Amino acid sequence: MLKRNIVIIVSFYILAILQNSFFSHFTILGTAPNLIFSLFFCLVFFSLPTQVFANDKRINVYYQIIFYAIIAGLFSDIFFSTYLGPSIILFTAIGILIKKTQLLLRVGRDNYPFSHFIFLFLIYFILYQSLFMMYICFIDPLHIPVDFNFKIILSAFYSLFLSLLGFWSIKKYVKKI
Amino acid sequence: MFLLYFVNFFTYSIKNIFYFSSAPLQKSLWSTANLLSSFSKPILEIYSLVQENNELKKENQKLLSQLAIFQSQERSTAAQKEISLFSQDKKFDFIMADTIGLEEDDILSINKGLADGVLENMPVVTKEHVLVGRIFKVYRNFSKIILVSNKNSVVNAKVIKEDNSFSNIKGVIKGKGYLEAYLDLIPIDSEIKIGDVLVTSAIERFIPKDLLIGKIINVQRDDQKPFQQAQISLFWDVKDLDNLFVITNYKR
Repeated sequence: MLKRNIVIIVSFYILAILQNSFFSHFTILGTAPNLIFSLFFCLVFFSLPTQVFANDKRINVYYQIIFYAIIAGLFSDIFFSTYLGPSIILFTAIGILIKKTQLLLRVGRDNYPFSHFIFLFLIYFILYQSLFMMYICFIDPLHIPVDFNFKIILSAFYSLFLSLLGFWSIKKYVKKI
Repeated sequence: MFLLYFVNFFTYSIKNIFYFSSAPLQKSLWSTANLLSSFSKPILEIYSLVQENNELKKENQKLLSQLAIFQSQERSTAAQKEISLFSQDKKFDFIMADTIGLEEDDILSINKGLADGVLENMPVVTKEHVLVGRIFKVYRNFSKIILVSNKNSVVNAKVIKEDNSFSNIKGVIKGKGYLEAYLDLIPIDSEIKIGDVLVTSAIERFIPKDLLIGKIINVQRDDQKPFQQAQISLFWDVKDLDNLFVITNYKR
């Protein structure tokens, strides 16, 4: 469990740096992918309702989501926000909503269908970005005006494209987290 | 919630530690991405054209910079000549910094901070005297630059006509986000054209005058409005902002 959590922390750290420096050179009409959200979404999407570890320790999925949200939110805030905390709160709320919606939509044997992945990713990415923009506009000292335009959707599709790599690798090699 | 309040007392230190420890990795990733993006360009365009275009752009920027100097000199008295852009070069002290990251909101991180003498509101330029932005947050070992394209950025500018004729047209350059900006508050009776060059105006408090900013690419004129706007193309590309120069001793 400790090893797994360290891998998750390191992965978020590397993706935050990649997003901040590497992908700044590969923008589409000025939009860069949100790799932290992509990894967070993949982890939440593939989390089992109850996680059983080697020593028969059971952890409810929502505790897992809070852990993912703290790590994702912390790195997101270190690199992209003035204060530490807003992204942690947003990721926690979005993560719980993703899992609740996913459980509501669940039908048949395949718990993780491709269509659900795409649908939920796009919806919650846009929700996350919109809420984050509103935070930056109204609370953060930067006060950057909110501007809802097609670039949020472009950014959602760009991030979705990269998160699909995560989707297929998890489905093929990890199966369940 | 209490934990978040507690953690925020240490935001400055936490951020500085993370940026300081990851700066070498970020710098190498920035350079690698720069190299890779230049390799990927030929897929979409012919390589030689890209190179030629880049060289022409640099040459053009140098010429425009010289033009700004000549125009300034033409309008000025002998005493004013001393504060032309060329002499500003010699008068100003610079700190060279490496770019290490770009945030979504058009905020750039550099690897120089308070320890190196960087302070808030210092202007940041490229080696071709193109204004990139100004420092808005300084940490011990790194700083954040608010780019000209940031939605909160407003820079007073004056128009230099494409045909070098004298113009006294002034406006403001406002950031649009996503690395774009536009020219606003140009009186409706002022004649601006595609290709006109924009340089910083003397009324800026923290930014020296006559620094290049961009070029007009589209004029939006509506006779029912008191001001006209124009789309501009900034003279810098974020992919080429490897090395930046912070002007440390400009004061009005």
